[in-house]
Amino acid sequence: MVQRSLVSVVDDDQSVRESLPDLLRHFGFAVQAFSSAEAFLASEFVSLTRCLILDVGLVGMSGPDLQRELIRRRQAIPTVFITAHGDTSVRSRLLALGATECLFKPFSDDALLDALTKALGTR
Amino acid sequence: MSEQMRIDEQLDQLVAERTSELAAANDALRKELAAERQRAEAAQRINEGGAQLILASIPGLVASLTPTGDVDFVNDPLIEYCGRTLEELQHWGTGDTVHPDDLPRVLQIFTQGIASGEPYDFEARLRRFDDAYRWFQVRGLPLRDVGGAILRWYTLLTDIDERRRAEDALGHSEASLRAIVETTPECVHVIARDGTLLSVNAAGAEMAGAPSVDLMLGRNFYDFVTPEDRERYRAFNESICAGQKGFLEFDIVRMDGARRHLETRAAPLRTDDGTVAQLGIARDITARKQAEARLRESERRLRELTETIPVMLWSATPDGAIDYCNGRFLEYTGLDAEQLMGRGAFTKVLHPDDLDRTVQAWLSCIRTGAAFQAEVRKFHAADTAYRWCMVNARPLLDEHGRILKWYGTVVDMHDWRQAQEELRHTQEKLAYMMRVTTMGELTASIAHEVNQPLSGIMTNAGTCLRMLAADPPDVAGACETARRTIRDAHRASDVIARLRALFTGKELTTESMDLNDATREVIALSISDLQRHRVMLRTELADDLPLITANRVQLQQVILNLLRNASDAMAGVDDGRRQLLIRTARDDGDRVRLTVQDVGVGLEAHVMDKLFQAFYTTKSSGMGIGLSVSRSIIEKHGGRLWAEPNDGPGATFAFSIPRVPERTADAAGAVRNS
Repeated sequence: MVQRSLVSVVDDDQSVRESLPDLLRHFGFAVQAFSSAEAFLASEFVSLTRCLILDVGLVGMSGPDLQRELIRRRQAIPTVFITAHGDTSVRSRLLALGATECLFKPFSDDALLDALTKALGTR
Repeated sequence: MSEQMRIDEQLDQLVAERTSELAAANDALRKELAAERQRAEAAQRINEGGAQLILASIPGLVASLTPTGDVDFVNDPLIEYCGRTLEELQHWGTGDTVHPDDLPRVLQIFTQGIASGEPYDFEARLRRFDDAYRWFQVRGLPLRDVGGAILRWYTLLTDIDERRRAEDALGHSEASLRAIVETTPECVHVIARDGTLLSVNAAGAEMAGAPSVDLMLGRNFYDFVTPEDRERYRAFNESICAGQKGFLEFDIVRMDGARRHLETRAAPLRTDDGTVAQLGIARDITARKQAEARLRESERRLRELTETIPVMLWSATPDGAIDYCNGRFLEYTGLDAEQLMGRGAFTKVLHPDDLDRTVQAWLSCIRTGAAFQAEVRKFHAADTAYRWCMVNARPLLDEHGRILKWYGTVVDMHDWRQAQEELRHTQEKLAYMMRVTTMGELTASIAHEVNQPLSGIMTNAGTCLRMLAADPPDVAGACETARRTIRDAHRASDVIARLRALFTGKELTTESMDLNDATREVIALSISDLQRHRVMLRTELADDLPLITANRVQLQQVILNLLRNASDAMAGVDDGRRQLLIRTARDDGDRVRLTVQDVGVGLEAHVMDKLFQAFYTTKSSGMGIGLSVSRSIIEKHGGRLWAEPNDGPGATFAFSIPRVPERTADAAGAVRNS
């Protein structure tokens, strides 16, 4: 892998923003972490991001809102949703809207790697 | 009056007789004087004295006067009447012997009489000894000698007081009568047989709209009567003139065109020319008729109102006997008015259980006059059932505060009351549901709180392992992630500590309750959920369960949690086999027990001791707080919560609590919390 794929993490929880990037880098990805959807959209990394790990219940613009906004801008990015509100109905709805995967917090590192592989493989 | 006249006549006759006697005496005297003209003056004086003697013996009031009019003799009756001496009476012209009002006239007539020598005659009031004035007729006659010269005047005074008074009274009453007729507000009229108006008073003219009485007289009264009443009036008038008394109501058209309604009472009256006419008194009763019509109309409206108003109305006498019920009342009870009237009759339509208190309250109101109000069950004929009604009554009082009548209403509020009861029940249920399901809400928000650090823990731990497994191992990175793992674990621990504090930190408020009832309520709350999950629920609730003292909401949260766990545990079981059994029973040592038995995934031996720890769960979506909290609640009640695998598939969860929580349990809870 000459150029490492950029994975962006958007989550308002600090624990996640601290722990996920370390794991992702260990997996071999380049990582950028954002505390809100607005911060991500305002950044220069939107077009560079190969995969988005997106919290559902963000304060302000929610995860699904961000996904819709990207589609509207024709900048859709393969997305893995993560949520602390474990609810199977939410998961199926998100998948129906085009998400690659939806993981319930807490999730295992293996589950995350599977989801990422799936997301990037579909590219 | 006729008696008086007779007396007067007699008196007059007596006076006439006496006067003729007097005249005869005078005549005799005159003859004697003529015969003895030649006799001596002295002898004449003696004879005159004899005449005076005669005068004195006359029982009437008599005086004699000199030719110039000076009194020279009065007889005893006159002195006795006046109570004055001859000397005093000689000055009658200046004293008060004659009534001052009469004196000027009397003096004029008297002076003229004396001067002319003609007999005088007048009536005047003379003062009696007791200062009372009485009417007298005073007649004076001159006694002349043969040459015609006046020798003396003889005056006779006749008491005519009674007659005068009777005449005055008569004159006065006639005037009064005329005044009454003229001032009476009723029309007094005399109408001839052919309808000609012979006489009418001012009120009559006014009633007919005529400017004056004169414009009315001579006209035919029939012309005033409206055409439709005219024949009736003609017949009436002719019957009166034929000698009948009568009464008639009829309409007239006044001269100004206004129509009025009159009533006439009439009697026959014989007129001066001998024919018979109608004497009638007519009264304008237009206003009264209109008022009566208005009253009838208002009564009709009131009756319409009382019969159509969607309320039962009734009234009662002061002693409480019903004397009126409107149609709606009768229709409602299916009884007729006769059956509902009278004292105590309303008890017929009351539910026997309401009878005593209602009668007591009603009797008390009758005694005190206080407004009556009662909610009673009243017989409803349409469905032959008793329905809840509100009965109200208020007394009508006179100015002294005495009860004249009771007026009351009855309103059927059965549906309203039932709706209210249902609403209250629903509200209670809702309140319970919210309190009981608070735990569900709580776990959802707690799940979020706890899942965040848990997520960090897992990621960090995964990273840590990978760093250590790398070649070469990234020990520094692994240490950092391990530190973060510990930090996140503390965060999670804090969350659950707060959660436990929610349930154990508070004082346990308890009430006396029936565990079966509480269980049924939870089932009612969950039944739709259970049905959606195709769970077949069976209950075996013990009949002999004693009441317990517990926190109802918390116990229900536990039961709800056990029910949902059981339901979730059977999610993988085939439809039609998801059976759930809830059982209550007495337990040893004055305790009660509730068990929830499912046929779900069951329990493996190694999970049994972890089951009640926080965050331990066998479910994919659960987070393992419910059982931990449930155990806290049961322990707080001094009880025990446990689980055991079934002989067959599934597991059984149960709790057992003392009927009354021990104080030591509270104390233990308090210590654990501090």
